[in-house]
Amino acid sequence: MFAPEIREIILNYRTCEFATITKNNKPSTHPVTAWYEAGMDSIMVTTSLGFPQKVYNIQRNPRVSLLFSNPTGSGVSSKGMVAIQGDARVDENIACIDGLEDFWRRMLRWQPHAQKYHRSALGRYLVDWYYMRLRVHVTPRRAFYWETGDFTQNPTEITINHAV
Amino acid sequence: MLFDDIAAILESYPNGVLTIIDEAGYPLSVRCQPRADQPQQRFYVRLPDNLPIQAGAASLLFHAHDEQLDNLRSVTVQGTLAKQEGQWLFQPEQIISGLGRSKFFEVIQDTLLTPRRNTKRYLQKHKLPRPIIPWDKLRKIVSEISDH
Repeated sequence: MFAPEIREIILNYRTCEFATITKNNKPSTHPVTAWYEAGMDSIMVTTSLGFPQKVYNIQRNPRVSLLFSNPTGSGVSSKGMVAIQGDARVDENIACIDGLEDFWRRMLRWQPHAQKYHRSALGRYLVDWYYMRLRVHVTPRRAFYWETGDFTQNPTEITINHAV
Repeated sequence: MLFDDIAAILESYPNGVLTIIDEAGYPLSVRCQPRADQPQQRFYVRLPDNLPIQAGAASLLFHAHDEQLDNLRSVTVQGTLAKQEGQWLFQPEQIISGLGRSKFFEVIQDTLLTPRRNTKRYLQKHKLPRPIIPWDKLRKIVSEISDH
């Protein structure tokens, strides 16, 4: 679906800015970690039950966007930037660990301090909500790509081929 | 006061993420570096010409993390975007706090009270029992990471 240089950004940037639309028709943007694997026709974002507002917004209006613009910690040298607009679908089945093993494996590797949250019984009691996840699948419709990350320059509009 | 608070935010982040809603009704985000217009209490933003940006409700998100995805901090400014004499202007309306607040009660509220209350409400609304986290599976994943 994406050219290799864009795929590298989506696969490696630790966060992206995920925007939904509120009931008052205002944009609401939060940093999240996205999940994508080559060959998938959608990008997955998860949100804990502790912060479900994104899901409520999507249930009213499925139009969303993702901006991958912060290369910190990613090891990607191009510092490119990509904005993706798409339609979101919420999987209302709550996922904890099962079905998200690869997601947690990567998250806990990228975010090592999170490994300590569940070491104690008290920690497990207090932060169990963090591991109760709703999955949001975003089907990209249009993208804009800044090759060097210079956001003052005009980006290239990308046609997304869902057949690949 | 609002303008001064945002000016202080601008000093602690190299740039921000402006989000608007385009003509097709999709949100669209782009990095930008707001420039303060103190007399008018608003901010200039320079945006690429070929993006489908239009005036209307907008938000500015500022966020950062370190190489280990730690020390997360964020703050959002809600407002409106308008075009005047060929320049884009962001008129702020409200600051919404985000990640990384440091006062004791704020930390408790952000990391425990609010998410636990939200979780309880979500489960009640959907008439769902509280899921039980299979901690042993999570421990196994952590162990695998440590081994590598």
